[in-house]
Amino acid sequence: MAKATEKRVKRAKKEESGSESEDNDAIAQEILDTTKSDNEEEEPKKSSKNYTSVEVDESEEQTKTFKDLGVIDSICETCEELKFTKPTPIQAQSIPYALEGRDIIGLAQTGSGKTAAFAIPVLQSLYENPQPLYCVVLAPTRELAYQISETFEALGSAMGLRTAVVVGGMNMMTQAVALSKKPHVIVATPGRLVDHLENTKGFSLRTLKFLVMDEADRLLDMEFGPSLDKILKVIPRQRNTYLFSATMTSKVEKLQRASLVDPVRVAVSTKYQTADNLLQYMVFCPFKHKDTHLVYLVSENAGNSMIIFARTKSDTQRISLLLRNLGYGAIPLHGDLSQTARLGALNKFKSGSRNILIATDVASRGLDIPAVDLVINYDIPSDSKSYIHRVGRTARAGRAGKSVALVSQYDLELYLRIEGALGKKLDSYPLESEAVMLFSERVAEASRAAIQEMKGEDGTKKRSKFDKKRRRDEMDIGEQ
Amino acid sequence: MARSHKVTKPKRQQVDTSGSYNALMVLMGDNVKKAEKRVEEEEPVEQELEEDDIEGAGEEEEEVDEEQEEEEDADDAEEDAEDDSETDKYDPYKLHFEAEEAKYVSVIKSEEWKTSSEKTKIGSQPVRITYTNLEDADELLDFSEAQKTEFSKYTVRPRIKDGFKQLNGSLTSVQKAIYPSLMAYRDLCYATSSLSDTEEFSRLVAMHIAQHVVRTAEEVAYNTRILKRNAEEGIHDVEFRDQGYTKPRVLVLVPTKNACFEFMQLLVGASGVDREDNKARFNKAFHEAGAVLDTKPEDFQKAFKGNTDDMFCLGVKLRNKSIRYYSYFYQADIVFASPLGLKTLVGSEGDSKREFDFLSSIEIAYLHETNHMEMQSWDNVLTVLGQTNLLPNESHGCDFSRVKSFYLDGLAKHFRQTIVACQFVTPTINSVFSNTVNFAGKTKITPIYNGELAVAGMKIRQIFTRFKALSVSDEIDARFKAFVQITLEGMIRSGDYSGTLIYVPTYVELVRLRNYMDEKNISFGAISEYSSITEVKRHRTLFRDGREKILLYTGRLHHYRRYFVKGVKSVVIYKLPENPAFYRELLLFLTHSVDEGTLEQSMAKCRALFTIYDLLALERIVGTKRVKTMAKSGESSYEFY
Repeated sequence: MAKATEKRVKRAKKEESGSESEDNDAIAQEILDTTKSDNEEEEPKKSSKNYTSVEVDESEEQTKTFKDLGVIDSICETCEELKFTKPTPIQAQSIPYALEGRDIIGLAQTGSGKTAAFAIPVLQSLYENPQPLYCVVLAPTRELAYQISETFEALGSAMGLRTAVVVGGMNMMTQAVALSKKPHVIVATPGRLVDHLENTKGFSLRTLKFLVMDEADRLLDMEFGPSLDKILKVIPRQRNTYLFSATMTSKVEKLQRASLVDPVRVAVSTKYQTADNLLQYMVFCPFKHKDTHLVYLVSENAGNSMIIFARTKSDTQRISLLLRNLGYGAIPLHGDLSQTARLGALNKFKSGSRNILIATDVASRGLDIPAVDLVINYDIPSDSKSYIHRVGRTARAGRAGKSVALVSQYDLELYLRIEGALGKKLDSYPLESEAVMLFSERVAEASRAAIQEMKGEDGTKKRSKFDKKRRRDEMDIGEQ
Repeated sequence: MARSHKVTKPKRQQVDTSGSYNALMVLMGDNVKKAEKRVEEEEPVEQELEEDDIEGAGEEEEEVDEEQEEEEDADDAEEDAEDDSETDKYDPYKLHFEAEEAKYVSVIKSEEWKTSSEKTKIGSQPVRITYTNLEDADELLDFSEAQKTEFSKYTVRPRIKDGFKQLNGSLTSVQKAIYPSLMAYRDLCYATSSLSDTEEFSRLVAMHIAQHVVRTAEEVAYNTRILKRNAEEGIHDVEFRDQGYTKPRVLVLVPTKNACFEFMQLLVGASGVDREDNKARFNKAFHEAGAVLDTKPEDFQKAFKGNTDDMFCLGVKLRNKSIRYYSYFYQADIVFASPLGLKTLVGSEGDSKREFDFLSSIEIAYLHETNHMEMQSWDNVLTVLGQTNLLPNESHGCDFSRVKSFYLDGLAKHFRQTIVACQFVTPTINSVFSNTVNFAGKTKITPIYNGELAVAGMKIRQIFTRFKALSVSDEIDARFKAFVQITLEGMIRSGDYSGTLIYVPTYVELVRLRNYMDEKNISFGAISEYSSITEVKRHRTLFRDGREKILLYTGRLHHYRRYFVKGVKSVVIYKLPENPAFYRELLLFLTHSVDEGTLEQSMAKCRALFTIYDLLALERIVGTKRVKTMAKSGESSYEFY
């Protein structure tokens, strides 16, 4: 399947504008499109583009080095130190244009190396013309913002780069102090950045040279539109803008028209289901034995790192307690946790001190978790996009990976929808139901204990606190 | 008395911030109701605080044309800038507050404190001066140069120079010894029992504070003017780092309203202002005529003169030509407060309403009449000092582009100058003073004591018994044990112990002794600062008449009342008083009995327990010379006549 698609470079001059001939949210369509382009079909979607366009397949071998792309030596060295040996396709395609000073639209998923794709040109430009408050990166979630700033700091360590992260949920004053220390790069969620622009006296983006909007589709999904407008109004028109998005919706296109000048479009068609390295399975089981099946799967894959996705926060909490009661190192990640707790949970998982992460969709996107061997869908997500993103946590960077979906009688309809979107039937996970049922008694007991524990810590007071917090995580979850 | 309209201003700001919060919520397509609820929740708390009666706390700023004032300041600054450029002035402010970042960071990081001390004389008073310096701090501000430079060469605003001259005349010997340390922004601890020396010291401090406040305010106003001009011309790349997070730069802790009033007079005099806003109101609230009984000791008369209210906070705005009392805290330059008053605002961990952001940018902290504040409650002082130079919780309209970088880096406490004026140095003062981290270093000036042994004017047996204490924490139990074994048991066994006055420093020790003596069926009377006046009267009478053989008497009661206890035949000191005057007065109780003929001179005796941890107090009582031979560990007794 991984036949190298030939690179199609199409340069179309700016001719007509106002082409809104795009279906708004045909997600399945979107995915089918991308799969089609893998199969070397004709030019998909967007019939009229008023920009230079480059498309490339992710699996394509890169022969160029960073140096070939025109990256200066000091950054090349840092890349080597960071083990970025070869540019990924998106980097290879976008960096040369970016270094020419063009605006970029990047269509790519997380994990494709796009953070470095925009960080390197920004840093190179900054290197040549050092100046504080040089670049603003807008990201939809706090976690992503921290990851981006880490990448910037790693790449810019040699040049003494200062970054500041400005996200919701953290102390305004500390952030105001960080901003007034004149960082070179600000990584922010739009809402909080507007807050600072309006309320932090003495802070302005008058000197800004670069604006990066990462995961623009999610930024817009989460109603950050008005904030983005405000930001676009106060920053200088003379600047470079990079816009990255997983999908090209009409909203994103509108944003692009409002903020980019003569951009280059770089699209990397990610293969969601690479048959060679991602094995997708399903397990059909009665609802009441779901826990038992889950524990069976966990025990069978014990020692591997895995993410279990559940739909609700209380499910994540319950499952992690359940697994802990059975002696597995499980850690929940969901929106009720404070920011520090979330980062802590993530770090524990990353460092390997816990190898089972139980997450809501908060974690399904934007997080860069290096190696997950198994993804278990405890619930079937309500839309196929989420499913794609969930299983996208494994089988990354050429490694093998497995995903298992637990399908109960109630999930059948959703599951069929996803199968439809994927265009194929999933194999059923090989298991012996007798062996599974051996677990049932212990699981039932652990489950009771878990529920007991949850009730214990869930007083009325806490409930009300949860309610308050909910609102804020919804922006992380980005539910429709 | 004026009720305090507590934080009406912040309330407005809160509504503001929640307003923008609302806006954000709307932007996010969210429910706004919740934000409104937040505001509602906060209001009752404020009402509660409105009832609190801290004189002068958080007054609302009256209508003031801020801009016009700033303009005036800027004009003054321009004039002064011309004046300054004429002569080559020595300006320690620049060396301290505008030091190069790389340099001060390395000095602060070194953390190598070196101490040296010298014996010298100030006027006729022999003193010991102790300097503590960070290594390499000389590179930033060479202190020997500060000492060499004449006072007239220091940069002082002309108006303040004139004002100070009128108030003070030429420098006295005390002031000459102190100005280099003070004006070079070193931490300074000055102990003297002389009232006139204290006064001279205060005057110089007032001048220093006025100079600091006026020059910084003018600098800010001047820079604002430049920024405004630049903005009109479209220049944006000039920036000034000339302020802290919040306006107040100076914190003055004073024990009573009268002390506040008196120091304010010095400040007004030294700053040479023409106009005093809210003067009548200030005078009414803080000034009260009426002296203390002149039979009481001099230092007592000074400490308890006038209005002794110890619950107030006052914001003061000081400019080149005017001073305004009752300025809103976040617009004030100087915060005057009693430890109790400020502590009430600052609150403690877990309080629903705390307010200490205005202490974030304190550059000079002055502790006035510190020994008196110690007697009030030292905890409050510690709490307040602990909340200074922290990152504020809210911005309070701070312009972050103008905040000095050492504030942003959280190094503010390394720049703060702490000035302590006291009658005598106690371990608690020492611990505060030695824990300050001002990189400019510190100077401590303490007198060399002759001791109080011979002041009774009569031969009285004075026995000092040293007991062994392994550590500071062990000292409390060891002292009790030693007291019971060495003093109390022998006394009871001898049977003849009528007229014994047992001096204990505080109520805590009193309770312990009382419980013990109750247990042992020893009859006694006990009076402390918590006793009612009738109770005190009764016990004093019973003791005078010999109907009560033992009287327990606390040092704090003595501090607040300075009773003359009659009928004393023997004094037993549980723990030496920090204030040497107390010891003198205890001896006077004995001489009085001798004079009255109720006590034979040869029988009069004063016994005291001490340990190596009491050396500061002991030094003041037996004198600096003798204390050296007594400063050993182990047990021993010393007798003096």
